[in-house]
Amino acid sequence: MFTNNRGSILLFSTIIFTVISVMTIMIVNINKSFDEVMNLEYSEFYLQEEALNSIELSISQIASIIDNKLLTINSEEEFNEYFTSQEFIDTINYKGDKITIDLSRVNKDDLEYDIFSKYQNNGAYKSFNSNIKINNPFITTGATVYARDLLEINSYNKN
Amino acid sequence: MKDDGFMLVECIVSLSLVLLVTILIQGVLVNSFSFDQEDKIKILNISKSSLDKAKNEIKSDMDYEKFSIEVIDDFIINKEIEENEYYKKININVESKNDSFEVSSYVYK
Repeated sequence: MFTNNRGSILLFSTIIFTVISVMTIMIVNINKSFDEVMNLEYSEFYLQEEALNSIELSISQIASIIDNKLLTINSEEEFNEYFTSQEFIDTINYKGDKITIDLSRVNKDDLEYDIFSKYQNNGAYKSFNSNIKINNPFITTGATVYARDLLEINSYNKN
Repeated sequence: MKDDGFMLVECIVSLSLVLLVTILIQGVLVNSFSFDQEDKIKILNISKSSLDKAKNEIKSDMDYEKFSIEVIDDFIINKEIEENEYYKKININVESKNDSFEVSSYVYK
């Protein structure tokens, strides 16, 4: 009986081996693709946080500038003049290899700005827009104020 | 008996070995896949939620701890908040037995 079945046993063992090998290769590939997906998830989270960090730090820098200027500026006109000047915008704007921060005025009547931030790494990027408004302390109140009382920050828009 | 060089015993032994080896490889791969990926997904999710929670606490003027160590399942979450005049820096570190992930974020406040 066994003598007659030798050929089929060999064939059977070869088929089993092939099937299991294919299964193993498939599992290796699935494992690899899941690894890649996870790396993309990590990368996306990292890019998003870096882009958000740029906006938060820009707003902090603006707040710091406002507080510094409040020590020297004494009138509504001087305040408006500085915060509408190119010097102020150039102080905030930044273009590096990975980070881009772009501050632009929304309209001519208010001290309202859009902050655009973009973080790129290895061809992938994330960008956010935020809108802030600086209230002129010499219009709104005569009392001592700080930047945090003057800055209005709108929520972020993901691009 | 051994004219064709392939006896029943040899066949059974080789087949068993092939099965055993491939099943072992498959088992190891499946285990490493589920363990690694699950761990990574959990670490990322815990990092995201811890960071969102810390940001929310800061932005909503809620009381927060500058340093905290929390353990969820087998994950150790280290949170540290550095204070600056204009911003807070949140450092989150999530560790498991085999993996760890660190993220920092800034919040204007």
